[in-house]
Amino acid sequence: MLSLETFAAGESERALRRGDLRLAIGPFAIKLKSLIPEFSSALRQLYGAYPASVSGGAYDYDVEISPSSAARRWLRRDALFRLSGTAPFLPMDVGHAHALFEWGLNWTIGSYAHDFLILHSAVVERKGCGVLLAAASGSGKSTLAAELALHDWRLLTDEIALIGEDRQFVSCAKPVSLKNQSIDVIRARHPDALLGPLARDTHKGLIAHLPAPRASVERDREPARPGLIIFPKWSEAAATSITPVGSGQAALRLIDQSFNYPILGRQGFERIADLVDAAEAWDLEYSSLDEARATLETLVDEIG
Amino acid sequence: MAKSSPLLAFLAGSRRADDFDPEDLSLLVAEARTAGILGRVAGRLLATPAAPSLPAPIARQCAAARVQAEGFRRDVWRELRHVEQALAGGIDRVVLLKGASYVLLGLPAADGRIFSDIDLLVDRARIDATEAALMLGGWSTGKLDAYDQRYYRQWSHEIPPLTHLRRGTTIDLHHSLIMPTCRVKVDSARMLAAAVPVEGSDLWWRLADEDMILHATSHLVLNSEFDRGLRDLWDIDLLYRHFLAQASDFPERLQARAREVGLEALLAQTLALAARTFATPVAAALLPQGADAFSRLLSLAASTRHPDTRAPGQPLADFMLMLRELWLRLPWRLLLVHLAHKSAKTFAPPDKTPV
Repeated sequence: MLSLETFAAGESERALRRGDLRLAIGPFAIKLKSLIPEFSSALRQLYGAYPASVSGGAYDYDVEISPSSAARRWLRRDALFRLSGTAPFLPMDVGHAHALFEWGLNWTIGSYAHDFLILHSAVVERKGCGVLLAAASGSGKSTLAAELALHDWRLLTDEIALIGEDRQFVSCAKPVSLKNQSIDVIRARHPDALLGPLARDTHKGLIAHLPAPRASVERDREPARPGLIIFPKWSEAAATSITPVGSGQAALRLIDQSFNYPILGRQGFERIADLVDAAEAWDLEYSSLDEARATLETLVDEIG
Repeated sequence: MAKSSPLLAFLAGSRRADDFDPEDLSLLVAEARTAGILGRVAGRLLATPAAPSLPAPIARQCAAARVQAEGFRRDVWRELRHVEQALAGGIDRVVLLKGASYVLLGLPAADGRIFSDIDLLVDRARIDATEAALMLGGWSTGKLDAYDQRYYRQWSHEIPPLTHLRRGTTIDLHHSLIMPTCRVKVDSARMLAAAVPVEGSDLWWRLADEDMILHATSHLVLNSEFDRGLRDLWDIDLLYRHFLAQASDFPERLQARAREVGLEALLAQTLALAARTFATPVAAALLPQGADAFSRLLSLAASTRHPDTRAPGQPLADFMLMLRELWLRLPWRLLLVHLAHKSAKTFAPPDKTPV
């Protein structure tokens, strides 16, 4: 399949209007429709490297990002996320359409992709070792994931960890969503990094997206073997330290992080049990991104 | 112009799974998702000879939907156990209705079905005691304004929904099968008098076979919203097939019972629609002479609701059915009070109480 950027802007925008655009994101084929021109160009910025088709095809989810009504296409423009015609959220400002797409897609996967055990965690990979970064929102997890991605770690996901029946991490590389101060941190450390459009005044504050590295998108069909489970916690002026976490404790924390553990029942329990069996778990406390990365790289090397 | 619906063709049996191209199959899945019937449709698709060669996205959506349906069934069983514990020793003879009863009885209609509430019924005299026992078990009606509380407790056939404080599950506690003010006179008391205990249970009762279908019918035709209309219609198809397979005289019994409780005409129209939609083998005697205005509206509403395939007349049908339901449910005085209250609420400043 050709990537989205190989299609001329006009061609992909027309396909988007008709609903004929297909985008391959991780294991999912997304049918995408939108009547919002700003969204069309944001999509090319954030998903340019992803396999795409402008002539239809089979799909997992039919997603639409369009004005909530005919009036809202012209006056006080807004954007509404719909899956199969149903809108789970209220509309947002038209300038936030690309952020809405990310939230909507995360919601869709979390609500429907129950062939996977889904954790609200990041997954990165280095030297064949899959590393789960499991932490609550606001703990600096996304900033850490972005930092690692910008240092040639493979990014499998920044928020939606998918664990398949074969116990591997399934890749679903999407733009890393950075909020508020994280945006400044990443910009300062990586002035050349291209960020997607800024979304101001969202309910989560200021948001910008770091596109997944091209190499990660190219390997998006490749799973990763679980090797490490990290519980990262950023705190101001903290010295970098790691503490081992027992597998029972790790399992309980991961269950807490799971979208769909109860739905999977026994299967969910077995996948978590196998995960904490296969991968060492560590608490990581840090204030320096450089030291955090160095620590993780050392841990990966030691696992071998 | 709406595309022709792969879902409706599949459900009616006029096209098979391997007749569809991958794009139409994907649309079929999307339509099923919109209609809230993906769990059941997934089961059907996975059971066809075409199953091993389903395109990857469709196979994946079906597998995920079955996992969800199975998880849901487990949840319902667990919730029923919790209710049994809460009511143990104090309350007995509780009639289990609708979806939860299909699960308890292991009926085909339980397969792949997702629904949000557990529907219970006790006689009016024991409503307060039952509500009290459930409140001790952690379910509560929460904050409703005085108007809504009075509406439910005085006029309705159910008390406000009870939500469990920790689990978030919901119980609808009824004392009648139908709104007492309903202009369609359905003999709820007669149906309840024929309820029977569920084998092996100290607590649960169930409606008689014919009454289960009639209750499902009344629920469908007296609805105000039809987002789940196709699913509710499918329940009726599945119940009919199941009971017919158990007793060849079921159609006659069903018709006689419908006449007794006042649902004969509405049952006929509903079964005719089920036959058109699901190829239900309905005995000719049960079918109506022709379609009336209501059944035309119902056939538009209890259908696919996906933007690509829904009938252009559907929004208007929805609106008219909503008006019809208000008219049927509320006597004049209440209707005027209801409309006045709702419009006052629309124009009043929003309530700033945090949720």
